Amino acid sequence: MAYSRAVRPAVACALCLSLAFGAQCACAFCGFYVGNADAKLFNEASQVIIARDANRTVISMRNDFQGDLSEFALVVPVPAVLQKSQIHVGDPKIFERIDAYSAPRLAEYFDANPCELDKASRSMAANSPMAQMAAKEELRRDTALGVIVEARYTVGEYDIAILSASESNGLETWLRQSGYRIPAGASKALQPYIRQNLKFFVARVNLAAQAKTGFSYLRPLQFAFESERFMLPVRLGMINAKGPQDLVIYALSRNGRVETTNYRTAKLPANVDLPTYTRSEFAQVYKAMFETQAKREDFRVVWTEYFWNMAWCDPCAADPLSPDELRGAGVFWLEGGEPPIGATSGALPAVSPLSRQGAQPVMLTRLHLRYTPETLPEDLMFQETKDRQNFQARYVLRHPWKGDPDACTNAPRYFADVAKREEGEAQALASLTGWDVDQIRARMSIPTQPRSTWWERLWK
Amino acid sequence: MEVTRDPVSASEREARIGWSQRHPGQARARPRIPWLYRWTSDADSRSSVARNLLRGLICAEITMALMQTSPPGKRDQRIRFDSLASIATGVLLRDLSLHPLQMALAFGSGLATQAFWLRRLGLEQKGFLSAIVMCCGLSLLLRSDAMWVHPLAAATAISSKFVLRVNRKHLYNPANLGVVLAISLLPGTWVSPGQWGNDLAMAVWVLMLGTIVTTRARRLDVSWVFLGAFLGLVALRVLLLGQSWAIWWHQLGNGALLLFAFFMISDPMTIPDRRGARIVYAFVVAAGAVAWQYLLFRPNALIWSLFLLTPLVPLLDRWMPGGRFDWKHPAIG
Repeated sequence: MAYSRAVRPAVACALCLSLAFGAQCACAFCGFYVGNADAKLFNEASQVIIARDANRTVISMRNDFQGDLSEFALVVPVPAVLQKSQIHVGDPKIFERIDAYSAPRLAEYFDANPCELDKASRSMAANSPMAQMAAKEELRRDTALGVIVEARYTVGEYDIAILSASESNGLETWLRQSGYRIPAGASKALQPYIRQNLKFFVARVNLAAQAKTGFSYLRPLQFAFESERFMLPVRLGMINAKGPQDLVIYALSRNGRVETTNYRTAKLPANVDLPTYTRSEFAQVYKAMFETQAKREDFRVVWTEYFWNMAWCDPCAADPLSPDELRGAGVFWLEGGEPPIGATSGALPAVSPLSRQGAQPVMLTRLHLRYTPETLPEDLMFQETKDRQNFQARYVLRHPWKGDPDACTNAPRYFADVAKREEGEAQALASLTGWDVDQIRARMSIPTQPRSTWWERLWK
Repeated sequence: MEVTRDPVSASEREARIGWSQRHPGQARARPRIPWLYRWTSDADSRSSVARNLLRGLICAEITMALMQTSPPGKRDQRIRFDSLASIATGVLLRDLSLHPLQMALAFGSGLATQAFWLRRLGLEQKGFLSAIVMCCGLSLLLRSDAMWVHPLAAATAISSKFVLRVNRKHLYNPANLGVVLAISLLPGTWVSPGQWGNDLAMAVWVLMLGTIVTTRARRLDVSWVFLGAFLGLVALRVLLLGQSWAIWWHQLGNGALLLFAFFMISDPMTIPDRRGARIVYAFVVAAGAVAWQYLLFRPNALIWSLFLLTPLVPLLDRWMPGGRFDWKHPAIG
């Protein structure tokens, strides 16, 4: 959503690398869940939740604003004048929950004693990769500027105005006179939205109301509307953006994976075995990997980090969201709520309030993109596909068995396999992150390979 | 960031992970098709290599096609086939959601269906080229998480050529019909319009390839008129809305648009026979696609516009009759 960046980054997010990694088991059988690389890792990553079914949409925007609250402002193009009841202030925890649940994760396995395995089950293949707004103003001034204040509400700690405008310079002037710090060139970015007859949802913090809430932070703004457009107007946030920006979109749908229709959507390389030393530095590994991959595609790809039915996970980076949490995230089609839109009877699997692990008709797609104004000329358009194949950015650590190399006849062969596997892990990490393979080998304490000859590199 | 221990009780956990325990070593997360999973999992180096390889392949194909010394009629067919084959190879390498076996099954089923109908109707001399081209097109567009979708769509599409006939011409573009039926009726099936990305270099290559193919087949007009009309309407929208021209360039660099223009709407058997009628048709399809995309805000505009407007072809043929296209004498018509 359009986070007017110069208005003030409504979504500035402190780089938080204090990821606590502990050897805690989340899912007993499918390997040990060790840690994840959540969105906090990416500085100033905007986070948006879109819950959509048919033409009904609920958008939640995280306001992780760090500066003077009087400077906070948010300008979002919306398809219609929103009623007060269509706007809601959500719980910030929902973003933490959904982020934790869908974050790229690390799982680890411990090799069994090779001597206790019979020959038939010795193949380690069984362990191989598994799955993954304003202030009060004079009416006549507004009219002169071509700006109509369609509605004003105070919702929670926010003062919200819904504007319609006939002229972009007028809107820019109106915003400025109303105390919003609008960057130069804003009118040019606002114009296409005005000409498409879109309204503007403009929010700022009501300091008195905010003080009453007792919170030191801003809660997410949510709004519900009906529109055929399944899109996110991101261009407004780029007016004076410097350098690449990150956006994490959590799309909640009823039937299948969500992807962009005007940009390529790709899955991140996943289910890769990594060196075991990365256990304590997975956050850095993931960050380097995402940067390398995004750069390799010239920041023109929208990356899928997670796609899963909300009912379960394997391994679980966090518990799946409960029906109440899902409703908090904007999911309006859960049981006892809305009937399927345009659908005939029997299309929905029955979900009892108790069957938390049952088949909830909620699919979560986590999309992450790094973009610059040049690589994202058009607002993001989405579609819900019928793809239901789960995917997760999951990385695997496999700890070798620590025993005597001469313990049994199987042992030497096992250690030879481990050496081969570790070399593969070093190369995989180097390829994913662009790090120097010899440094990785040194960290792993495995022998550095003699530099191959040019003809070997040619024909490898 | 905290690492949380799963707070569910032991029995709940048991229920949740029960599947894994019954099937040690296999995570349920694994897709229904094991080799599809394997294919999609080691994406790392391949996706970066894919683009360059694709360019190389297409480049080699153009060179080879130009060096062909076979008679003009056969050469046209070969070029059409070669170019689509090379694009398909590139897609297999780049778009990891298409499995080679899905493509193979589409071909197997499509060609068998063609053979069946040719035999039944005594049309053996007609050959298989159009079927091969259709199977290529279908595989390039359709995505599915099941193995049976591609062959079923291919068989249906080929059969439509022999069953849905008006005025001794098959009505629907088979690949178009196959894709539309599959995405509307079959589960787990979709089209990813953004999968081609906006790699301008690739767009130019496809453009060049397409020109070679359709020039030989004398149906270039429809492709160029369509492209011109579509991009013209997008340009008009950019001007009216005061948008940045980068949006227009973004559309111009859309591989899906170019592939549609040169490999789908250009199918000589499913467009009007007369040049004037083809131009009218191309304009109408382009306007339909723009309306679908920018007024209705729905995805897959090109495919739906062609599908919905195909019934215009027999009408245009009636109002403006012209010479019938023949694959063996592509210069006529």
